[in-house]
Amino acid sequence: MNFSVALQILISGLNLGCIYAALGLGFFVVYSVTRVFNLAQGEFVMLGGMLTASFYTMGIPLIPSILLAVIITALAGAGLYRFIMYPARKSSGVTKVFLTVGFALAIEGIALRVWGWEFRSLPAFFNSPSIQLWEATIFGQTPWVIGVTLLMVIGLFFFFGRTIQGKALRACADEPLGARMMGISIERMALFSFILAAGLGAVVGALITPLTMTSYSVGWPLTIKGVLAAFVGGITRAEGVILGGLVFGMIEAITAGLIPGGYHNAIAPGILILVLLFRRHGLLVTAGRE
Amino acid sequence: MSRKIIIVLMVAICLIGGLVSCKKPEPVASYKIGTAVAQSGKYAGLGLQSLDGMQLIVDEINKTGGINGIPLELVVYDDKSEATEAALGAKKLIEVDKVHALVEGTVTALGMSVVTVANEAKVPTLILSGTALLDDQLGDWVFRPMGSEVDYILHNLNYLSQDLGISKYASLLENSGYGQGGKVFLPQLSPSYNMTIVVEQYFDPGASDLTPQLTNIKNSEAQAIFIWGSSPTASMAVKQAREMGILLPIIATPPQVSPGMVEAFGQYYEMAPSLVALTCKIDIWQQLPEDDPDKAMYREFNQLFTERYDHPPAMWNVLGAQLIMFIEDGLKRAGADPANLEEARGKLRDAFETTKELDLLAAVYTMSPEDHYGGVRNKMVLVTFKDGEMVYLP
Amino acid sequence: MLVGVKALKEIPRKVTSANLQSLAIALSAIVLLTIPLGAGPYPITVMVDMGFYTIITMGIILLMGFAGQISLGHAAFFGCGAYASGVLTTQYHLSPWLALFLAAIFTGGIATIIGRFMFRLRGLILAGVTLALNLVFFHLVSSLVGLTGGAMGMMNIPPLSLGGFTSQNLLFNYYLVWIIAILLLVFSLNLANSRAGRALRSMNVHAGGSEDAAQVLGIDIMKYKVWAFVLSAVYASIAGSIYAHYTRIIEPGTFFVPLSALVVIMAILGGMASPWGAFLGAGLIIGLRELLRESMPVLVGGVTGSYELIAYGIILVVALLFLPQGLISIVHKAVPKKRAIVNES
Repeated sequence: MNFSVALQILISGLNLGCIYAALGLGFFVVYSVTRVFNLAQGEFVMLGGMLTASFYTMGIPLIPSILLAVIITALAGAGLYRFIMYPARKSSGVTKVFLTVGFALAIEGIALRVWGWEFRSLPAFFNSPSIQLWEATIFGQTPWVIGVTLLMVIGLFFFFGRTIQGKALRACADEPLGARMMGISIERMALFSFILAAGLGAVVGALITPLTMTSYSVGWPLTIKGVLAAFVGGITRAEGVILGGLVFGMIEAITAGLIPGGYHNAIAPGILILVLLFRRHGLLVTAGRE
Repeated sequence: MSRKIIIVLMVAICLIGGLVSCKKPEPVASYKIGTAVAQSGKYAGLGLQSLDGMQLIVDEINKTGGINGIPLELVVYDDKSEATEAALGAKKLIEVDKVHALVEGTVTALGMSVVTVANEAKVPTLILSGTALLDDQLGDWVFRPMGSEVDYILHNLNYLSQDLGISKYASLLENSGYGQGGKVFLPQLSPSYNMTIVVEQYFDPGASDLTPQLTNIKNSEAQAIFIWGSSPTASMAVKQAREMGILLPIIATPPQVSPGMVEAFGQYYEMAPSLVALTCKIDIWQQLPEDDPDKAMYREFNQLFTERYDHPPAMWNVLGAQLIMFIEDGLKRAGADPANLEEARGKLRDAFETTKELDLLAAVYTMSPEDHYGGVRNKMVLVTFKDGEMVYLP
Repeated sequence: MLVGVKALKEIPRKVTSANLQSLAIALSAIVLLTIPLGAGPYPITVMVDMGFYTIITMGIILLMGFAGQISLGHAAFFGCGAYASGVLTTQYHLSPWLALFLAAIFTGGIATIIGRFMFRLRGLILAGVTLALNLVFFHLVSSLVGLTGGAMGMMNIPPLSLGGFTSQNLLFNYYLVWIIAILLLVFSLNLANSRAGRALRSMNVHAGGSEDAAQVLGIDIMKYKVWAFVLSAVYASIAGSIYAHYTRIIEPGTFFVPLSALVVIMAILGGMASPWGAFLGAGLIIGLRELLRESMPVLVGGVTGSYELIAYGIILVVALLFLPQGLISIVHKAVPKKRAIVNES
């Protein structure tokens, strides 16, 4: 394998890895606050992409289109919490997970109704041209994917680590009773986490649409990829989710070019199984609560 | 209290579901065609397009007085892009709705599940999906008047070897039932064109980055790339190849020029050497020479379709429409009494088997008891891209 | 089946719980076995499908309800059974019955290997592992074209036959599936009341137990968890083998994550406190699907796929909101005596 191939695989892996990490962050935000695995996260990504593409084709510039998409998707997130997760707050964890599945199915149906089956696309952000680096190519959208993912990560770290609001969110997950005694409203924090996750999902949707196109049906595959990325690194810590995403992206990039047929698809989840069997909290998290 | 009401409702749902499915069918006064294609799930695009085509032709036939004076009726269910649901839909259409003919199988994996059902229930059935891998399994009752890759990719291979003089090419195949056709038939057919596949690469539907695969192709001796797939990723591959500076000729399958893809990737399709793809004549019918015998047929269909749906028809609209035309031809010749279900189904099947030189939108069909996919003369053409337009490549 | 539940409610309370259980089984069996006398071929077809779901869901309930573990990958075990049967009969020309048996052993073996590691995992992490397992299975089966037919699927799987009947006969399938379902129900109920069942239940959070408490009591948690996991996989495998011989055509898409999720939803809606929940859950979901298929074309007309999907999603949400303990909880409330033997919470 020569240098250019290796470089190309590295770039491709970084690109994929950032997408998966960004997908995983949405799961992380909801899980870390509510201990709910939100299987509707992929639908938020779908909504974000579809809405951005629709607004953009209406003639609205890119940034306002994305903002509008984020706001509408965040509202859907708020709706998911207020009308479904909040009434079910006393249900078991499994029931909550499958409530999000019901929600996801309904959203997919609505998207099919509203937008039809057609695929929608966006140009690379601000029509960024692709860059040649030695013999390898960086697509115009790739720097945006990496940059925005990085921004989201930094933002989340700052938010959870440095702000009162963020600390309150963590407290809800770690010590619900204590948090309540400190006057933190767990319900409000949970609502906020769903809004934040939906908003993040919408941004991811806008980010990947120039690369993959989007349609009503992209939600489920994205959910599955995001779940695996979140698990492999350790769902309880943001660093874990990011590492998991990058590892997954790298594995896919390396195997996609080397292994013929669809076998390479079996390798990433296979590695996940091994990781979880031997490091049950994921790659990063060595001990602590689940 | 509301809890109890919900619970009662749940139980009621179960009971009603059971009871409703036992309802008695109404007396038969029309020819019933049943179809369970994908209206939701990942194949909904194909299913819904073909449904538009089917509905259009059914309504047209009824407007002009039906077939031998008997109206057509289209009964529609959703196969949800799942094989079990496709089989269940077929059974319901056969047993409950008592249809005379079935149209099923949005894609091959869904079509297969219907083959057994249709043969056992003895109902003439048309399969919508287009791969020849199924053809020796159709049985006595299933027909596939769709054309298949073994017929039409000859256009592509011919173009590569005769027009471009290429002897080594790379194949970029989708990991899907559709891509499997390429995996089987390309190595089978290439030697007779004196071509070899020097590198075979695969991608997943929905993948966002094909650079590793394309790098392998770039570093090989390939003089051209054959892209075979049905997802948008297969179209995106063209864009990524061009952005990577791979300026080999690319030849592609029909999904790459389906609606939406040309708008999204047109500028990359145009980059020299511009993409050459196979498609149905409907896409470029205006460019056909006036003496082309099919031009009038396409003009008429285009007008009918555009009037009703406000956008020009695409290949899958044509495929759906022509299956109904195929059934129409069969019913005309069968002259069956719709009230006598079993006899009508049998007569229709016999009529299908004796289809002779039936000139439809996408091909000319001749069927026989041994040949249920037809001595097809397809009307597929190659197109390329220039100045923002799809251009017919005679 | 539902008639059986209704009858349960009318039985005088003084009847002992063990009798009640047997009575319910007998009643259900009678109802199930007589349904074909009055129903047309289509409802029977639907009931055959429901039977497959019931069997898989019963395994899920053993795993989730008794051992408190979540699986998001049982479609892989269902597929394992189907493909093992398919490969053994079409490529190695074994008898379908032998293939069914070997497929169950094969699937059980895989589940044992995975299960051995399971004691390390709790709750959602196991969900992740089983989800990944489902993906591995799906992509392997789609790629092993020579062995499995790949994404196109596998054709010409021979039918099962017994005493002159084959699974080309719809009624044969119906009776086969439901007799096996009832046998597995009896087995599951006995298991629930056995030493192993009590041990399993004592560590189940859904039934008010806890793993820590069970460990303190000296119960070998791991052994029982692996057991529950292997059994649930074998249930799914048996259903898969029969399914393969019934449809005679299988394709990978059937055995993907949506089915895994569906059977868990059936388990939740039926109720994880008792194997009976599988009958209720599968009945509810399949009934709902048929109702939507039937009513939507009448309500909105024409192409209804997206409406069906929306309604299905909303009804699932409403059902999960109002029936967090599943339909079985209603039966338990109506028959408090029975609660004592099935669910000790």
